[in-house]
Amino acid sequence: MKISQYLYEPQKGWKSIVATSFSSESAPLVLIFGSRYLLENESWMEGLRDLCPEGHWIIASTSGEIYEDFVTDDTIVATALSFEQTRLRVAEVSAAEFAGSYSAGVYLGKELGADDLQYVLLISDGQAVNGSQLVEGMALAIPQHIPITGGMAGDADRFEKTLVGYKKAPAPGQIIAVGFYGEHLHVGHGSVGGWEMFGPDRTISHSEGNVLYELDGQNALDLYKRYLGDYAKDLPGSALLFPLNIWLEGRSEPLTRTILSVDEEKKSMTFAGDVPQHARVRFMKANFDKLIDGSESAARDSVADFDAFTPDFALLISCVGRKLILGQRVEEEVEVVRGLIGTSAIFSGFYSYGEICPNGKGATCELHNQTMTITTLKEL
Amino acid sequence: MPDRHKLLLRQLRKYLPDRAGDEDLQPFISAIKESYLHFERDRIILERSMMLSSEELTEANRRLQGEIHERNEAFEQLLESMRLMEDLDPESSSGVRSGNISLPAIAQILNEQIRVRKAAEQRLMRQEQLLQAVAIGSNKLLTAYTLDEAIWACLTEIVRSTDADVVSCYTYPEDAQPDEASLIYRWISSSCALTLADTPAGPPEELELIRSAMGQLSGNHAVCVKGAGDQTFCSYLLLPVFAENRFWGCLGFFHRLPGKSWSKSQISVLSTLAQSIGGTAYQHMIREELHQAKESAEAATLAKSQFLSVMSHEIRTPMNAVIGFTHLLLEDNPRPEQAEYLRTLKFSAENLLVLINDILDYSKIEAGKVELEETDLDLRQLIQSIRQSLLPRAEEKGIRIQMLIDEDLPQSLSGDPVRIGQILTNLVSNAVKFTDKGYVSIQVSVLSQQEDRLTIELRVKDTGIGIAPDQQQAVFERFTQAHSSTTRVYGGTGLGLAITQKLIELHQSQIRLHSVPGQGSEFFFELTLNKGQNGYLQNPEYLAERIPEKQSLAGMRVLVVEDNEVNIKIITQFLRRWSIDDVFTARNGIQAVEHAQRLAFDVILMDLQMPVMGGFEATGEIRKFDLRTPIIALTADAMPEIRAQVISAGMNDYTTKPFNPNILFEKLVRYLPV
Repeated sequence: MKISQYLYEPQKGWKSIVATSFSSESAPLVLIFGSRYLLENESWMEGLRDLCPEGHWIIASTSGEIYEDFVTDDTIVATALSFEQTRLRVAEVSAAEFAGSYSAGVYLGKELGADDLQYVLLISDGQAVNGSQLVEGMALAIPQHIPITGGMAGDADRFEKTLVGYKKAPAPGQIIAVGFYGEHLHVGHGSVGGWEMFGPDRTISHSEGNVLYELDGQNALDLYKRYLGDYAKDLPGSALLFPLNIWLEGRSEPLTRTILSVDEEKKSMTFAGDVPQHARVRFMKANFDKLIDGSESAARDSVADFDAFTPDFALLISCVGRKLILGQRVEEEVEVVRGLIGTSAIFSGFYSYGEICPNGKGATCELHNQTMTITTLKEL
Repeated sequence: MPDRHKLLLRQLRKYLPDRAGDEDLQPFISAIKESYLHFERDRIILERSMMLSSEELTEANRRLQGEIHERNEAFEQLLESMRLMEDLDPESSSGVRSGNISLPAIAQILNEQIRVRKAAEQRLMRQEQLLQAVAIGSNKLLTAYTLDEAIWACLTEIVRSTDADVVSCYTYPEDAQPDEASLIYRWISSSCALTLADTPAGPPEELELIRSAMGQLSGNHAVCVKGAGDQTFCSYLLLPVFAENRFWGCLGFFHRLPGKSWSKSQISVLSTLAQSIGGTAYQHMIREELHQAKESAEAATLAKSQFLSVMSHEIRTPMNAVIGFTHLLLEDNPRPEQAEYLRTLKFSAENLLVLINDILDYSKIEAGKVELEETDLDLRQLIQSIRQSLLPRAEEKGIRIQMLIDEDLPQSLSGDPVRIGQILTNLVSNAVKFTDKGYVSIQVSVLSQQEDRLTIELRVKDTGIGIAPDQQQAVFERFTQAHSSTTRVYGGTGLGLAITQKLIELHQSQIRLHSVPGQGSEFFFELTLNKGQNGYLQNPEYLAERIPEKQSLAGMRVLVVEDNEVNIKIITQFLRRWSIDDVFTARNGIQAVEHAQRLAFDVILMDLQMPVMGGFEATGEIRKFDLRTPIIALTADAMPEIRAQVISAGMNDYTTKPFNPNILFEKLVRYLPV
């Protein structure tokens, strides 16, 4: 696998961070993560085309970009991955074409399904798509042992709109899945949160899909505002401080759910995944050390079976909520990953509105919130 | 740096007093400030959230305490209620009394109670259904015509309400052995209808159960077996059915599946049903007996009536001779004392004849064999002729017979002239009989008239001996006269008024009586008759208007067809007396036909019962070639319906034997050639 990486900064334009000579045989996969404001102005594309070979450009807006050991805002990071043995297939849909996110997931899964499928990278719009249904649909269409990882695009802490695109200008509502085929690719993954629960158990007394209205009979938005006090004016971003821990029927482990948007008129809150009625929930809060520990655990999991070698590439997708909590210390969670995986691997990634990863090795893929989710790749 | 963090300002003043304003330090200082703010924000939010959470938990705890308190109170109340329930049901021992019981245990007890109560409720409901079904079934028992229908209808009503899988009804013929039960009806829950048993032998498994219970059943004890080890039925109930004191049969209710049984009240309700069926069976037995008794009584009546008919015929023939020759002797200038003996003989013989006729008539009426005719009736003419016929007797006794007839009485009515004539003749002849001086009057009044019918009152009044008040009811009974001495003085059979009363009852009316002993009697009754069509009146018996001189019959040629020599002798004697010398005789129908073919007769007198060929057949033969010659039937059968028979056979008239010479004379006069 050959990798090159480029950074785009406003006023400065593109510069090369990691340069590698590509063989021209197969089109590389180019992961382009950047600030929504920058991506909306298509001038960045020109410069990248000069630097980077034509290939599968996968573009997503973020709440912060990750490269090397850094976390940046208002940049675009492009990482070109050129595989020697592994084949790629890209499927793209618009969520609007489907009755629901679930059926979009099923469709994409069927598009990519093949005997030698090794791994699926899923990058989705982060606001118009119900991530948990998308993942559930796709997990149904492909064998369970094939890992699906990825994330929901972000929009800093604005929660206005997110953009995703394949080979063209990114747009809201797009979903892209990349299938990786062939036995030469080795994939590892890990996803850990590190949040703690507090306060009383609550029960969702009114909700529709991923929209929450009431907890224990009282309005959920009001409850959040009470907890946020003066910071309620920063909603919905400030609500990321209190994600919900939710116990879903048929699951032994609870999931963490992050708020995506609020509707003051309807007094409702939209979450990154389903919040079914009658489910038991509990507020969560962060602790710096535990978040950093969580990141380290995710890294450890992602290389658990990389005994004798280190990965070529690590994709770090972390939650915008963690970034808001960690503030200036946010890079610490990248540094611990680096410490564990080693200096030879190239890092790329972004802060997202939702992380996608199996809930353990060989387990069902799910949408997560508030986690550091790491996918490691190595072509043998 | 207007919005610098206070702590940061102090630190800058303290540690970097000279460099705080350096341009190149500003981003760093700014980052530190943000970091401070960030931490403070997180601290504030976290502290606030901890406080709120703590408040929420405190509130939750308070609510929980309240709920625990409420729950404890509710628990106490529940315990109290359950103690109350246990007081009502001392058999249960749940540990509630000691108070040492957990909520789940209480819930279990309550569940059990609810189950028990529901079961009880269902039992009650089933009981109610059964009671209703038995009530309807019992009613069906009463309304069905035959016993089989009754039992079928009754069991059909109840089978579904008994909860049984099989219901059977067995009966025992009266003279059968106890184990010869025969199945009448059987119902199986899987089928919809009660079925009549195909074969009298029921299923062996049922018969075996019944046989083994026979001792108790025949002692009128119900047999209820639960949890029987039997292959076919797990439990069963057998109820004896007694028709009064006789063991009539039994009802069987069988359960195929375990867990079903009968409650005391079910058994008592079904026992009542079995008793009702027994009662019905008994009623039907009685009804059957009564029916047989009635049939044998009717058969006896018929035999009696046939006997009387034969008797009357057998008696009439010799009586004919007695009366006939008495008449002849009386007209043969006997000596005064001989004449006295002959008159007594004649009186006795005539009385005997009336008696025979009355007995015959009465038995016919009693056997219900008399039906009223509906034909043209001239009541005025009828009364006239009755008066005429009784006038000789009255004149002998020196009394008058008056007729008082309402001017409004129409000439043409519709009714039975024979029976109305009989009623009036009886009443008037009685009146004449019991009146020695004064008069007898016959009155007819029209009481009301409608368009097509009218109601009249007929009265027969006399100035005779009268009837004492305590005797007035008895005169209408058979063989009763007002006084036992009466018969000796006045003769009579004692049947006349009984017959009269019966005939009036046939007309849907009642005879009534006013009488003062020594002053006279008055019999009266009403008749409602249809008006006639003013048609042709054919009552030849009563049409005689004139009694011609006896000598005027000379020159007639008469054929007497009669097999009895004595009768021939009497008839020819009378005919000679009336100057009829041209008399031919035939001994049977064939001879009569031969005579009729050879000669022209003015009248043929035709006996009906003869050897070789009878009168009806002979008349038929004669009418084939001769439609004109009058044929008068001579019959010993005095029944009124004989008239219709002879007319339809082609004869013109009839007279009864032994014949009254006067009547025969009148008939001959009527057919005298002009």
